[in-house]
Amino acid sequence: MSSLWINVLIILALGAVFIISSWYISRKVSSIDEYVGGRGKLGVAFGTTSLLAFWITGNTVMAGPEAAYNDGILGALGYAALGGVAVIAFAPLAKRIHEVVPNGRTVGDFFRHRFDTKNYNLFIVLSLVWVFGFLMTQGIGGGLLLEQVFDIPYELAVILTFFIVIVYSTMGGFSSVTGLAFFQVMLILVVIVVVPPLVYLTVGVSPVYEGMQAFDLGSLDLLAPAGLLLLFAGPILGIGEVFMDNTFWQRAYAIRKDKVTQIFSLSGIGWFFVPIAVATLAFVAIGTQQAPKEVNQVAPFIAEIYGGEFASWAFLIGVWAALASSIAALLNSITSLILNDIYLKFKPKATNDQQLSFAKKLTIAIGVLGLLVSLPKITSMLQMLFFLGVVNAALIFPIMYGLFWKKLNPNMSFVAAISAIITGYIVYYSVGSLQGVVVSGYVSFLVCWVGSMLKPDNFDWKRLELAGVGQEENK
Amino acid sequence: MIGWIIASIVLFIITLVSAFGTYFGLYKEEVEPKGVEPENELSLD
Amino acid sequence: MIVSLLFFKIMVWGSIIISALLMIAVFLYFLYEIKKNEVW
Repeated sequence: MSSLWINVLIILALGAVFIISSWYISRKVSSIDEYVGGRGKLGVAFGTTSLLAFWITGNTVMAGPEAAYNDGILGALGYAALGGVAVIAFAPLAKRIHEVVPNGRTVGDFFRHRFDTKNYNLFIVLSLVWVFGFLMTQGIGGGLLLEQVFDIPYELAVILTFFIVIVYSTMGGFSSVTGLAFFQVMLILVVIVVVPPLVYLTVGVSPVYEGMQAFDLGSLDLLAPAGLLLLFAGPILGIGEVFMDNTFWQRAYAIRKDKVTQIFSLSGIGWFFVPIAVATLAFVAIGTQQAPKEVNQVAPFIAEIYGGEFASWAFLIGVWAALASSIAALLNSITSLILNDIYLKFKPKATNDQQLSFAKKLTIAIGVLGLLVSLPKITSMLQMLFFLGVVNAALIFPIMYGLFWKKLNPNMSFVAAISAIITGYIVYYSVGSLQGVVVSGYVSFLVCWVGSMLKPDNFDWKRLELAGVGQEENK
Repeated sequence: MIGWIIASIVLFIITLVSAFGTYFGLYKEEVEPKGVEPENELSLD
Repeated sequence: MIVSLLFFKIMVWGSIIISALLMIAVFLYFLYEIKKNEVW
């Protein structure tokens, strides 16, 4: 049997396990709240893994080593900081969200009650563009990954992945997504804890280091300019992504109030060290001069040389679990955003059952749409993320100040977002992608801060307490 | 390039300080709607 | 500034060990919370 069919069988077997588990979990899901979020009930285990499962994507496992292969030590650290710092920086926001928006469901609830209609409309549009763009990168990135690394044809990979994810995330919504996330993260961590040590115990750390010194001294440099820019501009990009991402807001509402800091810290630590652990495999490739055909194959390539077929299959399981869990989280996140912030605006009196049935159909529709736009292989993951990074950075300060600072003037936050996006894209196209993100962040900060100092608002926090209250009454 | 690196380091610090602002005594004038965390009050001093 | 062998070793083994500790911590939390019926 060729390795292609073994790989497809692995995915089918894993998919069947996910679907059966999801069916088991979904039997208990009867309210729309459980389907789109659940309020303040997740403990440390499921809270942490639901964050890790979404945020550790299939590409994390592959792009981390790629960054390390290209930029050496700084590449690995920069990639880790991009996600890790962002999750830790969201911890105080999550705590604050519990305090000021106790009944919220989505990021839209916050925007509707903290700002005015123009801000809210702008934000809902940008937010949907972002989550959908992110979903596309997952679909396309995942398909490419399975094709290049595991010999599964691109179309088959995308269809298979989306099909399985649509089925299991439609069944139980948020409950299924978070319940399964625990097991998916355990799978990913087992792979990461087993494969790199297996490789390093065979080759040894010192020979790898000496090889890197001999063949590519720059990879050990801690002051290389390109790497340094990634190390500091990367986290700004990551923070922007996390702050505006409804997937994170859903989890902030869903976890227990008293465990917020613990959960976000654990996830941040996880997100910082997990990519480094995988990325160390790229150092072996540099140090022993064994280059794969495509750079993003570097981790499984090295794993297979030293760990044999077992390591290669272990990698496929880890990568695919990471991919499926992120797509599932995104499908559910988009569903909750559309249900809460669009559907309920038009049908405010919809009953629990009507909402539930709409949410299920919506999950399928978004999944199928995600599948269709992922099929043509339009763009690459990193390009798309840097492109959307300008939008992400523009909203950092409206969101952060909106949560903490009563003086933030809604008109200023609107002007800040628009002007940051425009100047950000001018720099993005004229200077460079990360530079565009930095400029967007600066404009967003300065306009929000200076503007609100000149024309301070006096926001009444009680207005936010009302956010999301209406939907509960419909049950 | 050096200029961009310094600019990004400064923005990085501004962002983190704003996010963890309550621990550094920022946003002092805010009226907490409910449940002021005692540790926040301590760090304001 | 070239990193030393010691730093390199700490980075490789440190990241693996912390990932392992994270896995164990989350799993123990899971067992503990399932016992207290606080998983979700």
